[in-house]
Amino acid sequence: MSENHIDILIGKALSGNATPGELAELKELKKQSQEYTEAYTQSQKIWQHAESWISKGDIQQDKIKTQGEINKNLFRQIRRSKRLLSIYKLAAILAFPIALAISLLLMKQNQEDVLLVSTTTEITAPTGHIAKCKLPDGTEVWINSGSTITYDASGFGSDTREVSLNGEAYFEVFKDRQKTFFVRTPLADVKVTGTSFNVKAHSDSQSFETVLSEGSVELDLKRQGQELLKMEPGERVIYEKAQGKVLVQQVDPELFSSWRNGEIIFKDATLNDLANELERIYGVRFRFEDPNMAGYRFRGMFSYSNNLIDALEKIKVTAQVDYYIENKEVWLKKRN
Amino acid sequence: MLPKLKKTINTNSSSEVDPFYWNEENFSKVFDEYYSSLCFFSNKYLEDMDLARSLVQEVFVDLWTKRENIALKYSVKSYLYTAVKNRSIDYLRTVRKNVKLSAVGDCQLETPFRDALEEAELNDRINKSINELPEKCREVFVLCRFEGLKYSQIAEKLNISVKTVEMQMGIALKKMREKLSDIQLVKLLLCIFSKKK
Repeated sequence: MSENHIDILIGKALSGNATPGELAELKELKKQSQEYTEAYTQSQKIWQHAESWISKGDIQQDKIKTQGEINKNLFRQIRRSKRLLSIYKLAAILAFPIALAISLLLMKQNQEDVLLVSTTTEITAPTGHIAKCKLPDGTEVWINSGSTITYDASGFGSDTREVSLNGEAYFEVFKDRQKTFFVRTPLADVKVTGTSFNVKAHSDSQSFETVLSEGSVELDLKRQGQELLKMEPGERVIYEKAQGKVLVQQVDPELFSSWRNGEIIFKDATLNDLANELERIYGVRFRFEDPNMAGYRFRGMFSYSNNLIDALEKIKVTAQVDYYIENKEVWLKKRN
Repeated sequence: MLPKLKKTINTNSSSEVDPFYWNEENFSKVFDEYYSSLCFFSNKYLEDMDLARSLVQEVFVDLWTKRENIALKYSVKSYLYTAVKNRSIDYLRTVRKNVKLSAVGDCQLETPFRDALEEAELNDRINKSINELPEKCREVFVLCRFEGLKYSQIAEKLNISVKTVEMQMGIALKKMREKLSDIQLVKLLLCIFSKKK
């Protein structure tokens, strides 16, 4: 009799594969040895209590799923609290011009000859949100996440219309040939009469760029000996201050103003560009495990209504990278 | 919501580490330790393993996202089992309201909590020992025990001889016995000990 003969018999008996002869043999063996009886009883217990099976793979899958769900919910909570914050911001934004209007009205009633006080109005789009506003002249401005526009509320539209910008905004300027419209940024000014265009000039970067959708604008780059630069629709002008370079490209303007509709389209962008944008939208920091990754090429489209996890999943699929979140920082790493 | 986050950090910095403090490591530890056992536990009530699995996942998600409502006066283990039990019974009451609870279901609801918990832990130990079996061995055992296939059917399905199936089944049972014997012994001892008390 081979060493595992008893195990084979037990297996057959428990699973109902034993012949009557084999059952009788097992019974006989059990009678002969205490050890065999124990082996049978224990095996029987295992057989009975193995009522269902979850494989290792299933458990691992469930774990990843649960983890993803928790991450998603935690981010949703952070966003929710941000949204509340943005309501307060909106209230603050509204309160200021109203207070201003009332005080101006009162001042006017008291003394007709009072000088108009120079007062600035500032509008900032909270991180993760796009703000749209109408200036006193009817010009519509879309302000991208985290960007700010400032204008002098009292003097706006008296001779010229002037708006300062830090960040990115899209302008649909109301046509008024008498009063020139200026967008002022540290590196360049845009001079317009009536037209639609996108301007990107973050104060923390050394570059300025604008894309003209329709009409015409003139750029006043703030460097010596530079004449006004006239732009045609569909043109993109990039000014890199550090290199003193001005680049003019023919582009599809839609790509550069898609963020207005809560979408951002990337076409042949680097992973670094992408990380910068997502940092602005979601207010998180991105890090690369390997600095070389910053140069990876990427194309795709994101929606502002997506949450961070959706966006990361998209990158994961398209750019062949993996991510993990640690201490509110998103780490991107090469896929092995 | 923000104060809650602060509170979390505070608890963590104190000497007593909050077991539900959210980070991957913490989550991983609790999940690995209790997940499958909780599934078996929930399955005692629901008698549907897929359902039990998604229910236990929900408990984990709630644990980490709605944690402000959780008073940590329980141990992690008793909290988890209680939460899974309550949710399983709630599920039976609401979703299956119209369907008459089967006789078995009624009986299961009556099963004392402790017994069900211990039974689930035993199921889980067995599950782990199945997962630790060599691949061929596990395949044969799973087909036989959980899909109810006859030896001849397994042999045909896996393209092996019936003799091999017999051998593998024998090895599977032997290996699992070896894995479990000490645990059962400890359990038996505990039982006697508590009875003496």
